[in-house]
Amino acid sequence: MKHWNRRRFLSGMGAALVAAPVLGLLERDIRAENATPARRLVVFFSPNGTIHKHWRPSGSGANFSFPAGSVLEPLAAHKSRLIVCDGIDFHGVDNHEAGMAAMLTGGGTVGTETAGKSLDQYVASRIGQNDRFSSLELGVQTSAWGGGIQTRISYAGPGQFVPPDDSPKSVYTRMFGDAVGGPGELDAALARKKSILDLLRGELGTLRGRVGSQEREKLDEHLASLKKLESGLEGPLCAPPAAPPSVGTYDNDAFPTIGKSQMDLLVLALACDMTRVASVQWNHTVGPVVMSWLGVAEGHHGLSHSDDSNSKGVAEFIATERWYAEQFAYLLERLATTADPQGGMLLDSTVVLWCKELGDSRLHDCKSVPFVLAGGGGLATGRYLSFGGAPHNRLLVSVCHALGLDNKTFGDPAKGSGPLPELFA
Amino acid sequence: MLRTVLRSTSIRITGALALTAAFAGCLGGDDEKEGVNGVVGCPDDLAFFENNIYAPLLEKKCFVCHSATGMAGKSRLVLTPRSEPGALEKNLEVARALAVDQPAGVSVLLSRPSGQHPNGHPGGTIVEPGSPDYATLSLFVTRTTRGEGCAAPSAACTTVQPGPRVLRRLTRGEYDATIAELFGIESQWGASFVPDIVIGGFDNNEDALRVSPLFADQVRRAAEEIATLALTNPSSILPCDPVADGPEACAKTFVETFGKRAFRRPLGEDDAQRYLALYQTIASKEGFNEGIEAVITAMLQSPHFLYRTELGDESLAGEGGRVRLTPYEIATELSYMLWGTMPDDELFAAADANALGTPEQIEAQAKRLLQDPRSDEILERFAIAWLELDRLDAAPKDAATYPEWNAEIRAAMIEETRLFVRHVIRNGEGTIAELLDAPYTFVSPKLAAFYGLPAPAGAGGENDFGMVELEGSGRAGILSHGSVLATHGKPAGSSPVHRGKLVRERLFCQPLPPPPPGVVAEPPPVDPTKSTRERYAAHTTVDLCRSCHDLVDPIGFAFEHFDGIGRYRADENGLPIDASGEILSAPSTTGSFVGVPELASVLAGSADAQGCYARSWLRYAYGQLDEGRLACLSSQVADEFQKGNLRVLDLLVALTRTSHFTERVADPPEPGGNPTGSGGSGAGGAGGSDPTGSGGAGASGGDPGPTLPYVVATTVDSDWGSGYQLTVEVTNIGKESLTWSIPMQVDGTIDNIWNASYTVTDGTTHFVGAAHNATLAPGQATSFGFVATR
Repeated sequence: MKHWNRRRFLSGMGAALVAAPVLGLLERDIRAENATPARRLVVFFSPNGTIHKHWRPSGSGANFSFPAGSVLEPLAAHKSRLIVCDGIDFHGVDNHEAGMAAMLTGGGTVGTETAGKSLDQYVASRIGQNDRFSSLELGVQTSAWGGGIQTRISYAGPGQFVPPDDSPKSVYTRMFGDAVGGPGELDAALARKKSILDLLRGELGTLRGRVGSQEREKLDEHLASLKKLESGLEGPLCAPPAAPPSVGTYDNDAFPTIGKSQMDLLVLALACDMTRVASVQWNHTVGPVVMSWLGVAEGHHGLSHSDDSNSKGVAEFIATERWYAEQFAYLLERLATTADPQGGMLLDSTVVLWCKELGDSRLHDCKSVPFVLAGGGGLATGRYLSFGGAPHNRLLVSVCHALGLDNKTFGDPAKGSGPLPELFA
Repeated sequence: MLRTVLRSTSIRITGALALTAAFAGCLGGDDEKEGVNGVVGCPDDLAFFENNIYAPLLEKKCFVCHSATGMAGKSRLVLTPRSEPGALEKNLEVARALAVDQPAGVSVLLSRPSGQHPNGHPGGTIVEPGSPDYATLSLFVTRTTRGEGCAAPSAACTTVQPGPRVLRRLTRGEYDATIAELFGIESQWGASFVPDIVIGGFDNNEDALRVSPLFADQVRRAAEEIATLALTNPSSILPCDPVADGPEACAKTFVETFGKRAFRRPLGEDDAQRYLALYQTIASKEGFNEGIEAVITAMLQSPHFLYRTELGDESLAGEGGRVRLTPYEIATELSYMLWGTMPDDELFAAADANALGTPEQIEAQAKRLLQDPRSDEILERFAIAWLELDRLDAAPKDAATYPEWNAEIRAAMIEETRLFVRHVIRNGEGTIAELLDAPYTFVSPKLAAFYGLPAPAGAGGENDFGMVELEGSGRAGILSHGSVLATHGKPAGSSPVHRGKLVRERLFCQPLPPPPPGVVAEPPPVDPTKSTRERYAAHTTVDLCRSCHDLVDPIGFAFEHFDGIGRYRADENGLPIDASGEILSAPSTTGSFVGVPELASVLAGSADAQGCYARSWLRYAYGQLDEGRLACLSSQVADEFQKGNLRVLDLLVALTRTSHFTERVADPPEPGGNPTGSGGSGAGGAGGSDPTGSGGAGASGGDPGPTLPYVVATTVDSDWGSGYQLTVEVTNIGKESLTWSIPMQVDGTIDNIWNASYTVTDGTTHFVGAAHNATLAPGQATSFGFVATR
């Protein structure tokens, strides 16, 4: 069985050093094609696929509705602000792990246009570099099994996971913790932190000269992390809200509380311009969370495999999926009612993507993987669209275009290129 | 930079590049001719196959599916178990048949497991292109199809090599233990850091231990908090008096003494200078304590603190290009491997006195550390990681089915496992066999009541642990601990699949492929009229499911007397329990059994389990996979452990006596000594757009040549002295589509090539693409690779 190996993924790194500037030369004005690009991206992940007949809206195009009891019914209030995307496949990919790895990367390698980054990290590398946090990754019980292909959605490059922060308390501290004290104290503290960072960079540079190329990679990653750390020390702030409730990070029954805290912090980070790219990852593929608060006894992954003959299992799985839809609705509601510092509401200038890693949960395949898009960026919302097996790479391209980028491909170019024009007005 | 090409020392790329596809197909022709002739082979093929292909690769990674009863039992690769007469010869013939089958110029034996075959590989990518395993398979193909590469040693592991020079970032647990040692305070900071990536079942693999942005920020905040805390009582950390000795002198003493402990080596002159300068910058503005606080904050974020170096010292070079580790590095290896924390005073003293040079000196220290109770934690931690018991706390259980399940019981179960492991290793026989089938365990009266066991004799309170006999209880060994059964149980029931998978993956080191897509992977619905076993029987009536579930379910059924939280049950809600099972498709373990004690006794005598246990310890102790350079060393350690029926403590001492413990192989040649340089390191000709203005490259030197619409970059993936593997990336930077041909000076003979073919003219090797990548659109890139023998 395939196991994760960072070095092998990166064996083409030398080549990337050559290829990257070349691709840079070919880029045009990134704002050229989209007159009203969105400013922000929010990714919302929930695991373990779906059961299509309980997920699909009825009707089509602009004339559709959510059947009573269906998974997406809790989104009814936001119907005009979203696009339900049906019939989008991960080409050449099936199963939990491979689905997880391909979902936001499109199977990119170092030589591709998006260099193996996940959607959030690619967008952050293009629009987030001058922000306090180029991106924020928030998790809800993602890492009880440690890091791995099953538990990660964000990639800084092939095989290079960007781990989410599962603790709202830690996120809160990162957002507000360095702003304690008067202006004089803050300046002194910042100067001290910068002196230390300078010293650390010098040490990493010297150590770099003593090691082989493989270990150099580690130190380069470390240096890049210090750069992000430094930009996080300063920048937009707003009045800190009350600290999030203190609960066990991996306490099953705290799942809803943690999720709400993370979504509230995410909205606040956007509203305060601390970042423009954020994700909230609920659990992980094969995720075992038991939604006891719904009166369910089996883990989410176990339920996701309920065959049609198991009506109780199917009903419970649908209940858990509706619960995720309610969380997505809450996030949309918060974005739709929180002011954008540039005017209007956050949702008007944000692209929100609800993604999953599998299509039919019972079949372990990645056909017709359920996606829901919402927000601005020129998306023609208020529709239910079927794409007849289009590669999800083109959906990823479309999201980039809604954000004003002009990349032609996302991930493996052999899987398809260009956006899905139907998504835009 | 634009056209800078990274160049290996062994390969020169000429400046004159031709844009033609004229050479396409040449190699295909040659190959076809030899392919038709079938096997050429080498005289020692059988030994080469056994030692380099079968034992380390096919048996370990493929056999689980590719055996007659396995999931791939109907494929062209069906391996015969060792126990059958003539098995090796049969397996060689099967492998040869695949080696000579090269439909697209790449042997099926290579393309299938590496995911390059158009039809894919249902078991996923098993052998990554570019890995040492790939290179070995590729050598086998070359020997088989061309009779080349026969000089490669066929004996098993003629050269047992140490691994590479590495930086090992402290794990979260090591961080907390080290902070506790440095400051005499309890540390939970590390436990709150982002969890690390798990490789081969352990979260301490050096390759995965990276400093992500989140980790860097968490370490920064922890360093600030710890430093502030430490300065609440400066006299507790200062070895001097800033008033009596003078602040500057005291700061200097502090930097040197604390620095040596934090960096696990004496500070160099430059190190001390750097931290003293930081002290001065801060102290001049804010005061002495703040200056010291800044020094601590910086040291706790320093790469010299966060990474344990295993780099060695070039001046201590050993034979054959090996580099000897420094005494401080060896002291650090010993202390983290056996205590999980920084060296103690005695290890520092031994390193200071250069008394960690001989195997005897190292062994004496290893034994000292192992005799100390401070090594308990590592022995117990290993068992917990090995059996994935870290997941117990987060294992979801249904409160309606199991109202008795709570944090107190979970803590008691982990305590049982810890006490048991400690007892077996310290006071018992100390073998893996005893861990697996010991007829005793440790429980408190409370846990005993939960399990349905008699309370331990002489227990004072209900939470006092004592030993109990398991005779007649249905339990035996570590696998019948509640911690194991509950971690590997379902939220509302037992789980033959998860428990069987645990034995297969963690005890036999045989990772299983995921269920194939398109199969309804529904766990059987709960049906009160059927036992769990009856419900899971469906797995073995559907062919597609059976092939894989036969590997796990029949082992898992042995645990059916235990419910989802580890309690014994005589029947399942009135339905009789059938706990009989068997082991199929393991390399050398067979047998049937009824219930856990009989399964435990089969496992206790299993060479597969013994070897896997030793290899798992090697992964954990060295923070590396037992592959590539370490494969031979790992086989040797596993063989000795298994044949000698060694004790666990002997295994750990043996791991400190290997060449890897004291030496490293020097780094492979740098791809391009000076990547930013111009001229000599450049390649791909020259052109007006070259910002350095220098043209030409490689052998042909300063000949400007035409402006080329593409760039070439090469990477040495691995180099084992007598051969190497190279990846070449070609990017079309022109405005039109391009059919490429690249001339190179290749060092040695190409054994195997993928995504391209080649021809040799006047000593220059010309590469052209395969059908799918011969032509590149503007901006498009592709890569090809080959293995060559020098």
